[in-house]
Amino acid sequence: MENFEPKIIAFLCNWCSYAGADLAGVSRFQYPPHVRVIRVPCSGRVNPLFVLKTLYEGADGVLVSGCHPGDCHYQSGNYYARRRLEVFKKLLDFVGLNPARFKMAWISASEGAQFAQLIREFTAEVKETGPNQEFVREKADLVRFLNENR
Amino acid sequence: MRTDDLILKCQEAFREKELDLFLGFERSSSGFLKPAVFTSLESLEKISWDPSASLNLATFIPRFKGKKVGIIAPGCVSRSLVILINEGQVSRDRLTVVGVPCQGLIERKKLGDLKGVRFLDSQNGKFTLQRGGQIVELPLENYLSESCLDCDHSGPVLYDYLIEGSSRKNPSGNLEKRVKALVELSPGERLLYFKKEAEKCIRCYACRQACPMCYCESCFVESSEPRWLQAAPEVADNLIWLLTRVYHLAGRCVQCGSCARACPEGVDLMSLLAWANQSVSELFQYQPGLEIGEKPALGEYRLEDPDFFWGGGLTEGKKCCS
Repeated sequence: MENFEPKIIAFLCNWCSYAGADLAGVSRFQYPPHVRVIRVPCSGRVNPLFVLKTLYEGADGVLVSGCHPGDCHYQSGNYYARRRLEVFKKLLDFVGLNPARFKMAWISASEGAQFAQLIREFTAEVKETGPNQEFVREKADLVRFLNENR
Repeated sequence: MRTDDLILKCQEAFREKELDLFLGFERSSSGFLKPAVFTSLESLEKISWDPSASLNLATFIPRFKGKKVGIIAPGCVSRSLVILINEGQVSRDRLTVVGVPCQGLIERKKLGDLKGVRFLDSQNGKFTLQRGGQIVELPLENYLSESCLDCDHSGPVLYDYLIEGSSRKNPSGNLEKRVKALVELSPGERLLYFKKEAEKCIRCYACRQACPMCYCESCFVESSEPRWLQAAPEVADNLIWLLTRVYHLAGRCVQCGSCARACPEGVDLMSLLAWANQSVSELFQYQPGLEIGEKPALGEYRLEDPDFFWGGGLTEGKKCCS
């Protein structure tokens, strides 16, 4: 477990959080290298299916980050995201999937230091949670059968 | 409620509103009601309504866009219609609703082997079956579907014509209790429970077909680009299906139980749906399908919505279950 290096996928909105991550880089703030960034137009673009699919394909943690409420480039995208992702996170918790694997955050374009802090915190949390074994893709029966009977 | 009254009322509605078609039930060869489309006054003589019906008729409404449609509706169906109107799937003026009283619907899975079983009649809280040449009378209460036992809106909320009669009262509250019991389990136990349920699922999508709210013309499960899940019904894939369906229905589901009755494997869909509705109502004070003009809970927002985002107003101290 000590050697566990988690794989974290971050969906960052183009207008704030992606720029915030960029600023963290430009400002030379140090943060753990486990995070892979996917740029999305808005946090409202993040379909909860993305989160399920990301975990299913083997990620250990998923981060969704967008502009602070009131700052959305499209006026209201992050307000929709706030409602939807909140319900979705509770759903994960209800079925017993660890909600610590899924984090939602507000990061503005000027918050490079906060972005580095967020990644440090989230990486530590996911490390503590351990590798994602409870919800990953299984090979279909036939593929499994062929592999076992080669 | 007498069948004659129902026929007369439906014919009256058909004539007065100059309907193109009428959605209702007619008796199948096994005696259980099956959904039917009636297109003439004469054919409406076969229309019937009793606890042997299973499907939520509002499911068919989006298929008849642009037509003037009549429909018989107990409480749950009328609430589904309200949501379909609110979501722009049908316009109110093209819809004629004949409200019917409802005593709850029979869960056929509780009747065991249905081979050679004929449904005969239902009256005064009892129903009669013919089973292997014998006629048996059974109490309705023991064979009702779970959602009907729990129903708190058995009478129609939206109607143009109403058929008088008594509707089922005293919701059991069982679903709420089950959700509560699940929430009190540890996350590991809950995951085990839902994985067991997902293992039963064969992904026939009967739940989707039976659901009036699943009207999307293309569903994410059939998308090949991107392909969200494998075709084989493996546990993780089934979970993606179940979770996404529940999420799509959060705050839209009227808990008619149409999906649970349609499920051939008896997957516990109702506790997921009941939980989703409960949590949407707690978070956003929202009851689906009671008011025309209301937007779906996840299709709108308020500035003062609870904020659990990192860096937001509230911290993550509050959690749902554990």
